[in-house]
Amino acid sequence: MAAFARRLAAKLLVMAALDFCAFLSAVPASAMPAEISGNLESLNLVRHRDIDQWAYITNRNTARVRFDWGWASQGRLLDRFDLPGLKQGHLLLLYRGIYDGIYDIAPGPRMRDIFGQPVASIGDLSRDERDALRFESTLREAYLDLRLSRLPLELRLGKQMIVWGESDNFRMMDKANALDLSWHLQQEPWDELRRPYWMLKFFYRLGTLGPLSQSFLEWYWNPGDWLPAKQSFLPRPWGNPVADPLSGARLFAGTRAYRQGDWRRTPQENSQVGVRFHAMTPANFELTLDYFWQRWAGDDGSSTASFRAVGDPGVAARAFFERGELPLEFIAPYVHSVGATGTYFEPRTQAVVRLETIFEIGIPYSDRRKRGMIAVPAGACGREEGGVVDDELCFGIPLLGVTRRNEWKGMVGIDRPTWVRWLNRGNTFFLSGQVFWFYLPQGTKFLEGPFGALDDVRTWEYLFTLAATTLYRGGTVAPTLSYALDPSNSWSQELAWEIKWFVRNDLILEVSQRYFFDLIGDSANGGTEANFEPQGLGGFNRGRSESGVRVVYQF
Amino acid sequence: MRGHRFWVSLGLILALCGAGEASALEAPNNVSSANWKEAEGLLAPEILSRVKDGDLSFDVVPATSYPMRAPYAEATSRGAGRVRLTEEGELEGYVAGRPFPEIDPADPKAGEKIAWNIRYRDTGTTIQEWGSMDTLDGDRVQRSIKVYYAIAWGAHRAEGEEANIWREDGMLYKEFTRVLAPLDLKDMTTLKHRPVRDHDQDIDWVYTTDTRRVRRIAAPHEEQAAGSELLNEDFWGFSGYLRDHEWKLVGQREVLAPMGGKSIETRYGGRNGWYPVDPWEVRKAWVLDVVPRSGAHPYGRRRMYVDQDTSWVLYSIIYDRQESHMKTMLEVYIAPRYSPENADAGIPLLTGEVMINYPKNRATIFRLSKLLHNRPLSGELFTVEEMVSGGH
Repeated sequence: MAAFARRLAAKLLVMAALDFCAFLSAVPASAMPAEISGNLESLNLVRHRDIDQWAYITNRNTARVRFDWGWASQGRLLDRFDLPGLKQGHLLLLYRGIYDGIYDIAPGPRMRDIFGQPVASIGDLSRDERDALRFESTLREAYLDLRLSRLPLELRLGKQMIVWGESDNFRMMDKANALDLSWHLQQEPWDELRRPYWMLKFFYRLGTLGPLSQSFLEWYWNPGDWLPAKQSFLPRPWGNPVADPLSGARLFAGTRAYRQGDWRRTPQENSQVGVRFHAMTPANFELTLDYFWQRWAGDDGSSTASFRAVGDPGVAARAFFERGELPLEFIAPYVHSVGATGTYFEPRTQAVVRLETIFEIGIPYSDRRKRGMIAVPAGACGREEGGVVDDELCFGIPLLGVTRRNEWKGMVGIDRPTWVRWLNRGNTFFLSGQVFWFYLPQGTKFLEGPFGALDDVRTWEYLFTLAATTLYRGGTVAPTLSYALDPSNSWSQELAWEIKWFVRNDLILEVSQRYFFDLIGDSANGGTEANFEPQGLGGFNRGRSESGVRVVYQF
Repeated sequence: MRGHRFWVSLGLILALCGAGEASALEAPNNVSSANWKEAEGLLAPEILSRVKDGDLSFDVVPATSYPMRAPYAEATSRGAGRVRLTEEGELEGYVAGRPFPEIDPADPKAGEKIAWNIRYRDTGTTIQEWGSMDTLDGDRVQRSIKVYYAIAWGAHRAEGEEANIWREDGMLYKEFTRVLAPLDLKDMTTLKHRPVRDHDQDIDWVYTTDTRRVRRIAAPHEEQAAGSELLNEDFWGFSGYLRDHEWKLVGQREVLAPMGGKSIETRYGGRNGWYPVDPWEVRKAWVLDVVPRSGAHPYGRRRMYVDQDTSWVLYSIIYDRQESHMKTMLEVYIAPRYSPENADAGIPLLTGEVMINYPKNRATIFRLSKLLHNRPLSGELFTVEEMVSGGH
């Protein structure tokens, strides 16, 4: 019976497809503005730990294909049929296919961790592991845009990314989509790193409200399709600079590290929402007010916790001794976030001032006071007699509980097109500087970062960024220089440059270099020189200075 | 007395409507290196020398007549004599139409008045363009950016109250541009709000696909547009702030200008494919010297030729600070009757812009594939909301 139903369904599907094709063939092509575009890209990176230590670490080959179809406009479907209530309809599909050739090439040098110790090489991954990592084939985005005719309301329904905020290269409001950090955080744009979700986004034009103009309300609902930030570990070359501490371990209650917590991916248990209001004041100050209720993705650069020790020694014991689960749970608790952004063009200086700030309530941090305990039966964990002991006795490291903290973050940035005529007579240099701060008002005395006992959490942290870019030769040569400095973590820094050359309209060549360094002393952190800075600069990327070539063919 | 004003107004309207009489000047049927001398009095020396060198040749057709459209002529008539320039350099008493229909060449402010006539030339209410901006290195196209462009005027319109939708906001016009190709720029969108007051600053935004955010920007007028040979203020012949330049009337003369084409898809040819080779026609032009007030401006001077009938810019010869010829900018127009979709536009249809940089041997050409004048456009298009909601 089931087989019959499947065959019937297949026949109906084919008939429907044929009908649809026949229907489309009857519609004039001009009525269906459909377009296919895309590109083929190859990124190759060499990592140079020192001037004489080079390692080939990336050969990423990407194909992107985008399909756009404006299937309805001016209230008509395919220019033939009236669509009551609908003014405009658009479909977008974006496919991304990856071949990571580095897993076939598997070069030999062993990669070093944040402590400077050699860990493993790509060649140490098993054949199966490399097969699994080599290819990716995903429909990155697939959504329908609907613009209603009777209401100033627009909907975007489907797999999508939602980007709010004013910061460059840092994420405060840009939190609707968590990141895939198994990709190269420093070398890939956010667009490639965000994890698109199936969401419903609504956009309501409010127009003029009293003295405010250009007002709108935008909100979204992710009905359960949320995933936390994806992480990877050595010897994969782009992820965390440590070996996976939980490799092969089963976690408590079936949770899976950086994949699945103790919830189901349903609207009831995994919904996420965000809302923002935008307006412009009579003085041309542009502002947004933002609110999010989301699970904590753990990808904003804060040293937050993704795991929590099981608090009850008995429950921990049953999990470990009966089910073989580590008494450690992957968590992503819900967090309330309230924020605002603003931009203002200052005419005398010809500069644009950007502001962004957010207050987050209840971010999880590992708490050294909350050490996990486990009820050990006699003869287990090297003890002759049973009893409740510290997790460290059984597992070698203390498993910690979690404390929820509030955090205030903010950014002030200034953009200014500036003439530097001795370098470029035709175009300005677009200069952009940003200052970030991160503040934990409830103190950080007992908090611990994700790298363990040596990784302290600071009450205040700061970050400065500066970038300059310009255009030469008819816009075909675009150099960029960028610099980031974290003075609160041993002056951790990144200096990078890239030159993009549009060889032809369809061919782009990009060369780049990134240097990471800090001023941490030889004796720091027990002589390891490890710098546990959270922003991905000279500590996290210790020894990861890189040179790269990217070639893009677009159509 | 009232009767006297009526007859004066009627006379002015008739005079303005008849302003587009075809030129009686003798011009050759074709201009090329073989007969360049015949065009000696009808071309700027910098263009003539290119003809002489064989870089371009073109046919010459009788001039098109562009009588003022009735609402514009009536508004011009109503405002005649009531508009004046303030000390600050703004207009006082201006409502709509051509601010200064009578130009006295002896008037020391004549150049400035022509500049205001350019600013308030008859444009209709909206223009939409689908086209591409190609930057050529020699004859090789290096970058070709396809765009959709829309502009809507919302203040000082002669078409009636319903056309003055942004008068309360103090906005003269708003521009919306969306990149259609190539992929690396696709969906990039820019928005500009131009205030009525020349001394107020534009408000500019850009939506970039790599950030997926709308960003407020400062867009210097004297900067190359997307690195091309056109400055941001070069579009439409000139679209910068009047206050940033000194405007001096040099004289008036008849010139050949690329206005005789019959298709919105202008043909380009000659050396490197830089020159519009559709027919040119003889136009009566004001000749202005436009000198930037800032010593840092990349141009030392523009010699600008402005059509007397319509106040649209015909072309500019651009010099550097050493008074060497640097660039030539040609504006290409056709008569509305050659564009069935715009047959009622009543004004010259700008179908192309060329900026040739001779020292660099480079050119930027803006060419059209589709053009629509005076179609109703929702104000929604010219908002940040549109950029946010339509961003991909």
